[in-house]
Amino acid sequence: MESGAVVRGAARPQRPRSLRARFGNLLSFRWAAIALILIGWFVYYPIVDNFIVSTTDQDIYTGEVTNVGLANYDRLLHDPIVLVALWNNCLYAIISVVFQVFGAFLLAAIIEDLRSERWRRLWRAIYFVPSAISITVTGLLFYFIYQPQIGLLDAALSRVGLSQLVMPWLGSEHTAIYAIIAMSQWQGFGYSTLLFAIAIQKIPRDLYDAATMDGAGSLRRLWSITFPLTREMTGLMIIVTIAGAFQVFNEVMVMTAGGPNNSSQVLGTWLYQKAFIEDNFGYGSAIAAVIFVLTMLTGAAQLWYTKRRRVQL
Amino acid sequence: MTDLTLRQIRKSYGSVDILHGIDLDIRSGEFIVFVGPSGCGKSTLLRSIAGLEEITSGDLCIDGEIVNDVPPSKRGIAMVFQSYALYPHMTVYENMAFGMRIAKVGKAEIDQRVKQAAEILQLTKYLDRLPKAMSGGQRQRVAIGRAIVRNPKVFLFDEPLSNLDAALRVATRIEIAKLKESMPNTTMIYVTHDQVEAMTLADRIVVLKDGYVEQVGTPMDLYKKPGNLFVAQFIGSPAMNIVPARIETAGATTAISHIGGNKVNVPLPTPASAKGAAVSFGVRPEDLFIVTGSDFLFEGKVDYVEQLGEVQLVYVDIGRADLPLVTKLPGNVEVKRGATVRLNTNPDDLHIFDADGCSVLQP
Repeated sequence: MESGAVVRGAARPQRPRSLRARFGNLLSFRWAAIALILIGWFVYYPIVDNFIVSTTDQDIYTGEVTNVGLANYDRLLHDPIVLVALWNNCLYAIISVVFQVFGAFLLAAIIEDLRSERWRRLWRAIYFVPSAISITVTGLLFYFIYQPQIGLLDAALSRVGLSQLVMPWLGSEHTAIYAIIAMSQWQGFGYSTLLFAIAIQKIPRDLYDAATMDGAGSLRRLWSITFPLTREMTGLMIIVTIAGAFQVFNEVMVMTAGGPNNSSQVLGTWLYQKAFIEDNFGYGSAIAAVIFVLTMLTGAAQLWYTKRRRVQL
Repeated sequence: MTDLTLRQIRKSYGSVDILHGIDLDIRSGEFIVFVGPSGCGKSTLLRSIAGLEEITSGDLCIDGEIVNDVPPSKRGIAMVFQSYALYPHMTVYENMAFGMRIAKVGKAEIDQRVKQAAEILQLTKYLDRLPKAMSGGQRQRVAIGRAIVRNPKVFLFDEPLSNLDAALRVATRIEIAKLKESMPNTTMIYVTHDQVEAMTLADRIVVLKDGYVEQVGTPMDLYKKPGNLFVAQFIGSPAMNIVPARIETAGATTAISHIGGNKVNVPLPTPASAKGAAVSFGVRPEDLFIVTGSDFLFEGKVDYVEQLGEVQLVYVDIGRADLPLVTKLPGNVEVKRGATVRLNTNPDDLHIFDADGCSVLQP
């Protein structure tokens, strides 16, 4: 046979797979074993254990554990503060989506539309700075800003002739949760803006030029090009923001600890109150389980959404 | 019918000047190609005509009317981008209809124009597809279709074939040429750095370098009578051979000696004052041929041979490392590497450039 000739139809001989080849995949797990053990021990075991604890009544002093079945969940359904906390979490999520997703998207689009790269960088930096501050520090900062009489906000209102609006922002049942949410928007707005700015930068400039040639003005380009092509990021941000809203704890704890009169309770602070202040770990774990399920649902929604709406640039 | 006039068009980014006062008259229905190396300003000039770049000074006139401040969509211009610039979230139909929807054209008319363009470009069965489900060539056709449906007076192409593979590039180039034939009244301006595209498509070529127009002319004008050294070397592949030389005898015919010392008589007159002037001597690779007698212009060793089948490119070392000569010979001529060859040319095929690089003698 001449060299280089192509042999057709010759089947490659089948060799039996070696034991090593068969178990190669299994053996490769040893490299991931340490990480798996750590994750299993510190993440998955506590989750499972939390569900077990939520079906018990535990006395932290005597160590006595009583199995109560789903009683803690039944109690949770009839707890009026849980409803207040859940509503506050929802409020937190809705307002955060409006400001930190759609507001941040608009702001990022405006910044990225600026012609000067220098100005774009400056505005991105200005909006991002609050995100670099710890939420606890920001909470303390706003605690002073919201102080009645001596706080910056009331002082500013008085100075501009709006003294009728002066009030104890964190001391009023009607305003406490809104004051906390407002602080949270201030803190998280820049980060969301930056993420949207990155998503917008990924859109090829030629698309905007083509749209301009097609007669699209700024608003039309925003609606027909920028918005659909950042849809993946928008979806992701909505879900991350909602998930974050159900996990909120620090800022509420620092600023009001859920008060006054439980008006600013969220699920996280109510869990803390029940488990660590009132030593009711079973009930606290049931609240934690609810937070877990809500977060998991938003996570699943995130996966589903990003898979469905991906636009290839 | 649309005339386009560029008067002293300047474009600067801060202190950096990109276009230095471009003057150009483009006649209605012409196919004009802007060609030049990267960074010469050809795309900037095209974008300035489109209105995507604001010109720093000068006037851009369409049909005698200054359109400097007219928005791109109102100039009667459509553009095909290098990257196709198709909206990835819209179907082919929506991509083509987008501009008309903004212009509030009636649904029935949009439908009719999109379908008509799709038929011309053989895109009918792809109208419901997203761009990501199409090949590069099909996407390019959609981009052209998007421009066609707007019934533009002026068509702009910004390196439309550069993202296509070699075979598809040739096929699409022919499609564009046919498209132009079917739209005789539409002015087309095409940017490329590929001189084959320029030579095959253009009615006239505008050669740009560093923001200046080097020469404007028909493809054969530029090829046969390059106005300067840059054009001479830019147009034609392989590039024209350029050799330093000196005018030995001026008068009714001009005798020129090149660095190797051999003389050639060029049948063109030069003033007596030109005697002794340093010039450059240009000859295209296909105008050089191998001779065996004593009447030759260059002698050297064959350094390398590139066999292309129909022709072969023979690189000859004439003793100057910076001046390898290239000659294009028929593919069936046997040329051995290392052999000494003598090359000659017809004096009518010589190009002489003065010390500033401008063409001084054109037989």
